[in-house]
Amino acid sequence: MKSLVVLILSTFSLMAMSGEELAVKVDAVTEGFIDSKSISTMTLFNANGVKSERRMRMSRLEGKNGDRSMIVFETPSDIKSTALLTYEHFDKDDDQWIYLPALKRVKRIASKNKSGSFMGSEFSYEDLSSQKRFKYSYEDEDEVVEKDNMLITKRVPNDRYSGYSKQVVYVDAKSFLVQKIEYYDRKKELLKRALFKDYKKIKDVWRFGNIDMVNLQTKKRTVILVTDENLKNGLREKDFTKRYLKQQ
Amino acid sequence: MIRFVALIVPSLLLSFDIQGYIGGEYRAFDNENSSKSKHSRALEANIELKHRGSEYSFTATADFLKDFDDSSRTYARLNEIYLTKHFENSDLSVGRRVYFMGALEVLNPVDIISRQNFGRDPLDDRYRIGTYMAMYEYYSDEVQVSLSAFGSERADEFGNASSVYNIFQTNISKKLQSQNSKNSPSVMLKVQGTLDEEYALDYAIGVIRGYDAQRTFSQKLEQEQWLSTTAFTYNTLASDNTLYKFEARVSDIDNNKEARVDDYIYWGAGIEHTLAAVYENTDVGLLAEYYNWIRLDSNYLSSDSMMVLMQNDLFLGLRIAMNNSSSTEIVGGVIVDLVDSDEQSYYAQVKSRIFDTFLLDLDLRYLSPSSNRVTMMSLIGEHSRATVNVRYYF
Repeated sequence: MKSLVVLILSTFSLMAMSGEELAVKVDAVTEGFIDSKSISTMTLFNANGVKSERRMRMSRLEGKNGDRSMIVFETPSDIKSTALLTYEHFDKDDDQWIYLPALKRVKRIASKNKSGSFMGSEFSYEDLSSQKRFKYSYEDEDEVVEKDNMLITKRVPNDRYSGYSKQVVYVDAKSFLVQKIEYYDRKKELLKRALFKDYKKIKDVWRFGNIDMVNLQTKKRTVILVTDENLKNGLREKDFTKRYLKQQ
Repeated sequence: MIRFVALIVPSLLLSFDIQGYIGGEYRAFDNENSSKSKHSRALEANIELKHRGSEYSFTATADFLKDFDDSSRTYARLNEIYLTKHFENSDLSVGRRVYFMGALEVLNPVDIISRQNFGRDPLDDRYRIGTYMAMYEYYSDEVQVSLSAFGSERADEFGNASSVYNIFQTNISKKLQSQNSKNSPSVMLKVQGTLDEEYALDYAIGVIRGYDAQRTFSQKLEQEQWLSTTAFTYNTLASDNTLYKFEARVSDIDNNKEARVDDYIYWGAGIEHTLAAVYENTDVGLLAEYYNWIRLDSNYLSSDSMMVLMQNDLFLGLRIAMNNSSSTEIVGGVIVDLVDSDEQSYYAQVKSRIFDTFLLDLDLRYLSPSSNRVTMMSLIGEHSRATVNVRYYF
């Protein structure tokens, strides 16, 4: 009888959950990593399944107004040691610089439009930036739908330069971990689908180990495999500066 | 002893990161002067050894080029070898290194520390010769302050008489005439940082006391250099999808009886606008840059006599990044001399990765010189060049 009451109450509370409330719960299980260091392998598949790989070292520092991140490419060999430094800002354009080792040059990148492809992959820069709830609007108060143990909500990017008109987010009803996102292009047609897999709990924070992104219009696919991820390494803001960009 | 070396060397090498390339290059020339080379075939290699530690870093880079048709291009050089000591808020580097300064894309008037490798390719300023320097860089939250001494000046290397880019039709002396000892170092103080308010601005401002970057040729075709005090700045401002760039140097040449050059200003400004995802993943960059060299005393050598390549010139260009798995990029542009517009230079380059390890680089250039003035381009003559370069990266 007690279980039945709990079930009825939790179902009632779920039915009343807005998209934004769900986003708060999603953020709660993935926030608090403070900083992260990892090795990622990005495998690009063309429409015929031919693949090519990129390997990179990634580090990220969590920030209240946006994360700082550094990506250093290890393969392909012609771009080895090329490094990308990003200061994300929720309230204005991101700052972004690239270090080109062949030229010994740090170059600023215009980063207003984040819809461009990241290294020829099916991921755009905005797909790889933080997914915090402040960056989206949740239009319908009671939009969350439950289906097959998934909570489904829609969100609209606040950034008017986003490449997407909306995203449909599938969240595991028990863990509140994102399982799938469907991305709609600016013509409101379904463009891409990302599957988030291999979640691991590292130092009490849930982190995904694999993202499988398919472009449903071109049939191209990119898989990012995250390995050797460590959280709370004691990284500081000064580790994410042009000084360290040149020293990678 | 041998056992000791056999044990130590592999473990030492393991602590180093090794990267580089070996490649082959074929060039075909079509130029007016029949005594000049019609083609060149070359093999090249670049190897970099790098160790990055929390207290010390070490970098060494060796460059090799063997040209089978133009022996003056052949060289083997330890282009960089420097050690950096890292402190909490500063770095101290000592050794030979390539050091870049600038913001613009085609030419950097302020990039005057590491000289261009003219022997490798006078039309491509990506190739630089390492400079002996000691540099102390201090970093605060707001700014980076650099104090450096650099020098041990040497003559620029040019091709021999049969080389297309030897404008004097005879071998150029490798002597460098200096106002004082060429071993006396130049000194640079530079402050740089980022202002991040309504617009994001990367700025740098500095001063150099020592040998001027601009050199002249004597009657004997010996290179001459003069002491100067140079103030410089280079800046990039980001607004939406557009970058605005400005760089300038003002050189105050020391007064002396022999000097045939006087004070001058060399500046450039440019715009780079990016159109993202124009077609599928393809980004298009639109570029426009203007360069101007101003002589401050008309009694001294003019920009033409000084062989200034872009003294009043406009560059219009296009960069197409296809953002595919081969990272295919197409870059093209035209440089027009605004003094007399029949002096033009066209450029197109296609770069693409093959099998994830090779990089194919096709490069086409066409130079149409002025018919009214004696300029560096008119001395080279009307000229077109096609280059195929394939590199294997490791």
